[in-house]
Amino acid sequence: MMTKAEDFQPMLLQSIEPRPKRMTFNRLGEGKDGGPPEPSSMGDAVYVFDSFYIPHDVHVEALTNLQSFIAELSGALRAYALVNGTTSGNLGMVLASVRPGQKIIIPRNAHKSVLGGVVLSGAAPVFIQPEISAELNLVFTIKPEQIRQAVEDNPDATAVLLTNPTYQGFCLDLAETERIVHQAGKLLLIDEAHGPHFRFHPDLPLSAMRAGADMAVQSSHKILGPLAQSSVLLVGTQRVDEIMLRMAMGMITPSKISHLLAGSLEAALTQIAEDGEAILQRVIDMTEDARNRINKVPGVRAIGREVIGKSESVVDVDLTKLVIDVAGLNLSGYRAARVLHDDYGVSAEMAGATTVTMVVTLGNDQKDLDRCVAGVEQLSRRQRSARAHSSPLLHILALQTPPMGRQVLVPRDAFFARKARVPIPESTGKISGESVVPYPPGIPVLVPGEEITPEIVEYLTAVRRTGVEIHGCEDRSISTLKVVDEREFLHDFGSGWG
Amino acid sequence: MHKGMFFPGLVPYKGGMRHDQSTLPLIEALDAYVKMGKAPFHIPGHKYGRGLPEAFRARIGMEALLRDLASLVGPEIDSLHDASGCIARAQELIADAFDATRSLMLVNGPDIGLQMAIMAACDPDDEIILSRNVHFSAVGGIVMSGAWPVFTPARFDKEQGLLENMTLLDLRHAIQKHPQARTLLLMSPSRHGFAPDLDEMVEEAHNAGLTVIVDERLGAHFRFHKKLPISGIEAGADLVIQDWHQCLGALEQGAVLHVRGEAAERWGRVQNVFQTMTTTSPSYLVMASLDLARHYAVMHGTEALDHCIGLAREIAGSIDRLPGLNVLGYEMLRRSDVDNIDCTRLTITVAESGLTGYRFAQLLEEEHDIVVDGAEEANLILSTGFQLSEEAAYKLIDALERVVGDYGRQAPLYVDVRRPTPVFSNNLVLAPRAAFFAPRRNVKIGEAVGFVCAEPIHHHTTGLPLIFPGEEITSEMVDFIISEGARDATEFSSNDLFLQQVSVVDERKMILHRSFFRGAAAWGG
Repeated sequence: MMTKAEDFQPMLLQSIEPRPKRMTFNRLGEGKDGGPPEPSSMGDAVYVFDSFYIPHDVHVEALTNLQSFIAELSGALRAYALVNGTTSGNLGMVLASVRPGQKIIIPRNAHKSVLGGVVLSGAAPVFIQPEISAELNLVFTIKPEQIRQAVEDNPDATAVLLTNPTYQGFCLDLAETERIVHQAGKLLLIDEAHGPHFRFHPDLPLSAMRAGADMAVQSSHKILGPLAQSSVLLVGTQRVDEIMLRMAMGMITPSKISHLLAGSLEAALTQIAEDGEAILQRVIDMTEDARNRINKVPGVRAIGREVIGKSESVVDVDLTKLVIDVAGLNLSGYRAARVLHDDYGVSAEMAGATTVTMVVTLGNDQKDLDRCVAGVEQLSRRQRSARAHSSPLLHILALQTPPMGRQVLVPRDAFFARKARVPIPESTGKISGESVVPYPPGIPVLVPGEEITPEIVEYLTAVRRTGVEIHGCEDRSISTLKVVDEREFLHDFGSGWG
Repeated sequence: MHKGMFFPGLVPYKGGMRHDQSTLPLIEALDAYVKMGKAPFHIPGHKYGRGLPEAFRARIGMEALLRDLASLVGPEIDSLHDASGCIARAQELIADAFDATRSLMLVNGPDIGLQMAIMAACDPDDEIILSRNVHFSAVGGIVMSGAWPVFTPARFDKEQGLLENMTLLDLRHAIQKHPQARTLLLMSPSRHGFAPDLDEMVEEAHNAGLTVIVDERLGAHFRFHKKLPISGIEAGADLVIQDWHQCLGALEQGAVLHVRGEAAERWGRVQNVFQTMTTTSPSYLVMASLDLARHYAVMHGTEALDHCIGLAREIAGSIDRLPGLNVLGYEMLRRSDVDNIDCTRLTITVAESGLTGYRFAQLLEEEHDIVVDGAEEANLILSTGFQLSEEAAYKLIDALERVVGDYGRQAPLYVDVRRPTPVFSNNLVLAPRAAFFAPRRNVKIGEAVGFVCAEPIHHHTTGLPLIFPGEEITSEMVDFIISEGARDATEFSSNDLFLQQVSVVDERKMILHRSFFRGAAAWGG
């Protein structure tokens, strides 16, 4: 049963109406009237709302109602309200689409929850390397030709999971991708974490559901207003094994879900259903205006649609993202973000080698944007008056990224295998037990289960000297690496996959 | 800072803690950050609550919404996935308060926490010993890890309508029969507040080389009062999961995973599993509520529990005197030498009133606006609250008496001969993981006998896992499911909520994939 989005009745919120006479004997950690046991700066109201008792059948009905509304609103067949973030949606999409040993095609820089899904399912990932912009020191996205090549080379793959848009709002050619993937008879899954707003404004890029993707997961909380950790999973077509998906989601969804998170999703999406286009128009206008003003500041530049012509993979950009290139100030993005944050009170979402990314949403007002522009102006002035040196972080991109090592084990087998820690020089020829992801550019050099080649060892040794941030592995200084203990592995696990 | 509420003279619990527990690292960091008033260009998109509809803002309060943040480019607000600042300190304080080696804040509830613990402890094909009264979320952990469950015998106490805990003897037999087993999963306390002989069982398990997981979702408060059962960490368990929403007042989904002993040596694995299963946009509200709950438990928990336990005993006494109602373990509750029952939790057997527990709970809610924690065929389960007033306690007793008076049948001793005993399969044909991923088809429940179940099925009202994927479905199981399904207020969670259809392994399409059978016996059981 579908609810018409415009006639939607927010049942979850309605069922959390105060009941002053009610007495609850359902949990120990309760303060007075459902509040916290101890006062704090968070206030009592959030606790009262959170712990409000809703009878089970009402709760089930309200949640079903909310999920049909989300589906209707998003142009999906079915939707899941997620209270464990987009991470759980990515885990669920992979678990429901790929069985142990089957192949899934993913970008090399997929979010770590995608690799998490690969570990849980036991799938064999086939990686596509995204395009890197040497000019912006940023990762662009993936070309349709690459996807065509990957599905041709891997006729046995069951699904293609892509990130669209990227963190910076760069979009791949989704329409063409959809044709390629579906013609090849594979599932198209989209990690649309940064694109929950696309559907609601005509000037924003094509959304996964409109493009005909089989599933998509969106971080509603990033853009549309619900509380952190609230996301949605959308099912777009009948190709999805609904039973597998329901079982997988049943497994990785808490049995008692937070009203606070689900309720915030309901409130925020109701607002979008009523007024989404106007809300987003305001956000786009504010952002465009700030972009134009920043582009007048010497030494900096705010990236817009012009990037499309400079990339082979990017066909559209999210106009609500403010990606500021500070390379002209001889300043790293990290440093610029810290100065903006510490000295000018402008807190960015993320920093890259030479860029700072601002996420502009319905929660921002013109005053915020003015502060942002003023902050960038001050930064530019200060930096040009000082004699700044170029940042060592820039050098990493001059390094040639080594080719991927052979996948000796599927990530799941490497995940569960016994590991040993060895100094980097001794790791040649061994199987990596962990991911190694230098930032920038944020593309893994190693993924668990891959052979560590001499080129990779050489690269990591060079990276170490640049002082670049390393993610994914335990020893951030990468003087050592965790490798699969092969003797014990062979003994314990029998043969690997290769 | 607020003073002790009930017994200002009592000294707060501080047993052996090394850190200054009076601080609130995460809450203080959030407060300080909010004061800075920075222009927010980060997630979450509501930006200090401003993007949320007014009606919702009013319900939640701006104080909270201002603090719904994320890890930022500045160092003020830490990251849960890479904790080194205020979150790391808040976690250290939790570990210190519970005497764990390390503790992790969970924002996705105890169910996912239990799954993390199972995946941290079990490699694919490892055996894990558990009883049938575990929470059904264990099934997910077993499927995702690829472990083989070894069940200890299920003993259903028909009179009291509950599954008994695993005993030391059960454990010994299981270890004898499965010397290869690597992990033990214990539920302490049970849903009804009964704890097993935890210290002896942990010792026995450790002697046999097992890693011990304790699902302490209902026992996070044990540490703070000597009249309560021993806590998992104190008993020496390696991985302990606690629901802090239920027990200590954190927001829903706020839970903790404690790590000690052998598991602490495998810290890397615990972290990997944690990172795999945890959202990369965790709720700072939930985390802050854990910080606050730890503070309250350490500073005021003992006195609050003193109050609860005292009041619970009085309530139990009054209820037990009411016609038609009995408090389970009341004799034990009254004695001071019994230490395996959680006296803040009361299980009331309502069978003699002529009402089922489900109906009783419904009447309490509809007519008296009283909500209990759980209802079963024969029982009501109640939890006292930290700040339960005597007035509320009297209202409860009064309401119970009136429900019995208004609706109870004046029948002689009510013995429900129809009350079905849950039946479990004795034949695990495939590893649950293998069955989960196997080719499947749907059959009618009445025709499912002899098939290998491909989906987890649990009893919703009790949270008991009835069928693990990979188990053979027997005719007794089908009878139980059909008879339970026909009752009010009972439902199953499976793919088909009404359980007309059940998903079974399609033996015709079963391809002998290596990863399904690795190290395992064979298909056809």
